Amino acid sequence: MTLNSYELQIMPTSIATDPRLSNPNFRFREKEIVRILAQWQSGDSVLLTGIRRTGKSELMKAALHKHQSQGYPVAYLDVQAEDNLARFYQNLLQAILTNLPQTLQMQLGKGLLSALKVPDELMQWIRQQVSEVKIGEVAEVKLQAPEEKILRYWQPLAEQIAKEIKVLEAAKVPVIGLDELPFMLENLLAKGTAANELTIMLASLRTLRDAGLRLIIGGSISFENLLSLHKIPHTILGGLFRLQVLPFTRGEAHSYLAETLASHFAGGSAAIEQTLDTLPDYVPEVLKIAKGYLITCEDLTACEYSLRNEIMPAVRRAFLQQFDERLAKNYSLQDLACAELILDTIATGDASGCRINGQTLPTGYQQVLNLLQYDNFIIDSPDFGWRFSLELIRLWWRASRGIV
Amino acid sequence: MNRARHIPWFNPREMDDATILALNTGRAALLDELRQVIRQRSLHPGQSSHWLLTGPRGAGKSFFLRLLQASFNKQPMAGVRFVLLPEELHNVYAPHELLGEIERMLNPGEQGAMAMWRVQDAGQAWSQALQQLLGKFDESLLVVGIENMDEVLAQAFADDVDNSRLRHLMSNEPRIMFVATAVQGEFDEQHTQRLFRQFEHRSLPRWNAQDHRTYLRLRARQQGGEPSAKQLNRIDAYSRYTGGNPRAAAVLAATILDVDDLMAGADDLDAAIEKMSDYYRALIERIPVNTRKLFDALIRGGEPASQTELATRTSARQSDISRAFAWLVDNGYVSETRETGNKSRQYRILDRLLVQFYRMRYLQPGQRSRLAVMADLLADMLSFADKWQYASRYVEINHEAEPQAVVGLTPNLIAIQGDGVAAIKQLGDAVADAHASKGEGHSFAIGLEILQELAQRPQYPAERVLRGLWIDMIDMNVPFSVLQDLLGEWPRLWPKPEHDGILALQQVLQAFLTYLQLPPKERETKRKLGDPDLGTTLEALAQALPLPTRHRLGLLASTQDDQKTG
Repeated sequence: MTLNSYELQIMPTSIATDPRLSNPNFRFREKEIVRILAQWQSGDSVLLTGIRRTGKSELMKAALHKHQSQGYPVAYLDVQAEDNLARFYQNLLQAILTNLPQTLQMQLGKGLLSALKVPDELMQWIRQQVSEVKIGEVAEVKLQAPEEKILRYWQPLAEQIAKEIKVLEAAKVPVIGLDELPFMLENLLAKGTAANELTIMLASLRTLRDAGLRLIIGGSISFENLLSLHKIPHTILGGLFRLQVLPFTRGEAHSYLAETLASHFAGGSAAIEQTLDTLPDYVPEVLKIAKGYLITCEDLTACEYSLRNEIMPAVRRAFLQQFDERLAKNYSLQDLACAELILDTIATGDASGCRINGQTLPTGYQQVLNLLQYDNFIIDSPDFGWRFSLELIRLWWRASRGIV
Repeated sequence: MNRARHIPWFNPREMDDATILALNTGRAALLDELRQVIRQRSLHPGQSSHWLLTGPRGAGKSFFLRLLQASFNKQPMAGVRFVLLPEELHNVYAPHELLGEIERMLNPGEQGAMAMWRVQDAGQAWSQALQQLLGKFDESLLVVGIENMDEVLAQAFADDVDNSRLRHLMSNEPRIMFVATAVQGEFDEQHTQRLFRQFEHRSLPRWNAQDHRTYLRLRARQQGGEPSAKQLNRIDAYSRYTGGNPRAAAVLAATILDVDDLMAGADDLDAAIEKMSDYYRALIERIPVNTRKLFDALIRGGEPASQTELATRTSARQSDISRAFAWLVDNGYVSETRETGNKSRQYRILDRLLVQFYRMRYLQPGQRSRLAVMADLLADMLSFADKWQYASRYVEINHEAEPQAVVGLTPNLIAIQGDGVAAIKQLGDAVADAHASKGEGHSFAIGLEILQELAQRPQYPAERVLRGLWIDMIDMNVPFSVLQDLLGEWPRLWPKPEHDGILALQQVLQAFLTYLQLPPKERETKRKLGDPDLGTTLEALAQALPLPTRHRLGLLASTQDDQKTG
């Protein structure tokens, strides 16, 4: 696990001072945060989905920050660079322990030590973790965990932790943010970790969740596709509240541009309207791209030039290519033909969404529909319909399929 | 060619802080913005912005990093330290080695660690290097300037986990901020890579005419002077030629300021292009094959051009080429403009030095003239009298290939001193050549320049010029719209026609040109209805146009018919 300067300083004590969670530039998403907090309130966990750079990590941090500011414990683990399962378990255990109130830390520690039947070496390590927590001061993080032993005994250990957590008051148990979990899985698979090891890890997360440990999981790539690809059960995903992170509304985009371009020509209402009319979607990253170029534009002509020659090309490079490649990579020839039929149907319908007629589609189309949803091509629209997740994709699909 | 000359003014690593700050042009807003972002980051560690400055070679990326460094040296920021890494990192082949190099540059006197042959535990090495680096500075934020970030990534962060280590640091480490540069931001735009849009991309804006003016003044002041009015009059041509590329502007500044001879300026420019030839070749090779056909057609056939024109040039339908052409737009090779009242979008290659490279290597290989590389600039920048002067000078010293490049008109210039009619015909050829190679606007400019020159010479009476010029130009396929525009200038140039014949000829030409621009069906109708203007026009045409021209324009038969009926 790569620890940053703040993690190095604060992991053994409290995450409450983690400055990474507080971004003064974070805007909007109030509705999403309310929904996430409501899930946690009722003891449930959340899976954030959405195309890359829609602000999933920022939303996760903001929700954790909000929860924390209401007096509840939280921990944020970005596990994208983790390629050692034992280290992940160690960090997860530390994140849980260090964020419990001291009395509960003792209680949990004692429970673990008395109930577990594990080798002395591992017991010693657990004792060390618990005693360090008990000290409650800045202390050196022990990176030298008995890795083999942790891997071997993680299942009983997790079950015991689950038992201990179950009896604790829910509000006292920290919410854990696991960011980029799919990347960690990819790392472990690339390093040769057996699929059954990963199944155990994911099952243990589910066990902990069922016992009351609330999680918020995010990732840049589709968790479902990754699990399916490697024939790993989707157990971890069961019962998760899926929250799709959508682009900003026009009003939000307007406010964002007005604020970030204030005191520049492009921050004026005429330039903003021109920008919003040109951009097909108001994904935060798209607005960020636009802002980066517009900041030097000193009149409407310059804004228009930049939108045509710099901003839209950059948006297309960053946001269209990924869908083109996903179709080529994630779909069999048979699935691809079905996917094209589905996308053609949606593309010919209304921009706000339309229904598809399953009777006209090949058998098993539901699976392709799920894949398209997992890959963020489409999202559901009101009245049991479907629509493209981005207007940019709809325009691109229509153009490339010759749909007038 | 002389390529050994040391070209100063565009290697920012060789310049001291005072020169960097004194020559800073067109970057003040970007520098202010970056300094504000840095300040914000130092105050609010929750923000995780990192900058990637992109731009073609010579756009001023290295200069900007030096400018940032000089600005920190001059105006330090509380709690912030800036460190600029060497231009190339030949000892960084593993992630932790980048951190080691940053640490070394905090104390630049040190030799630095050598790259490790094999790294046992990359994760452990990274964590240790990071802890060590963070312990080496007290400030709340360390800003690290890194050039050629794409190369650093390919060299040291090639696999997914290494990529994620860097991404993790960029998302979670509040005390480190990168300000990186790369020609293109492509490496940060691959969604299949871990590092995806992790940087805030800032493309260095091209210099506009005002920036060129400012830079010229700053350069003149560096040498203790001010640019003359004549030199400042060259700004438009200068900025058009460089296409806003600061390096090209820096190389040519001495020529514009008359400090260097044209030949020296051309050699410097040629050396600069030569130095970048691998880069240009890579840029061209990167273009997909079908798109490359369009790229070639755009340069070979003259810029700007619409997609419709390109489709015609490549014998395709516009719908056939649209997707391939979009690649050029999306990847920043061409820019799109639309003139008011004109529906079609016009496209032009953005990097003008790339166009020069392409012309020199592929369109005119083995070009004997040293000045050919800057022929466009000279044609645009020098007055006719200056061109004449330069051409004569080069002829005198037996640089026979140069006069052609200086003005593209040398045979005409020489001929003007001899037989007038031949000269006028050759001038017409020059206008047609200019049109063929550089487009309509350029041919009008040259045509006008020639007419202005001739109007001042008593040996060329208006009628003679008019007849010779227009016959020749029609023969050479110059568009009628250019002829019409030139004709529009006539009363200004020869305000007092020598006799009525000239006025009549002017009117005839005007009518004729209008007539020729009509669609064939309308021409047919006009002829059949016996339009009275038509008779005059056709008569003049019959007298004035050479037979092959009439044949080419498809007018021969109808002329004969009309003459018969008449």
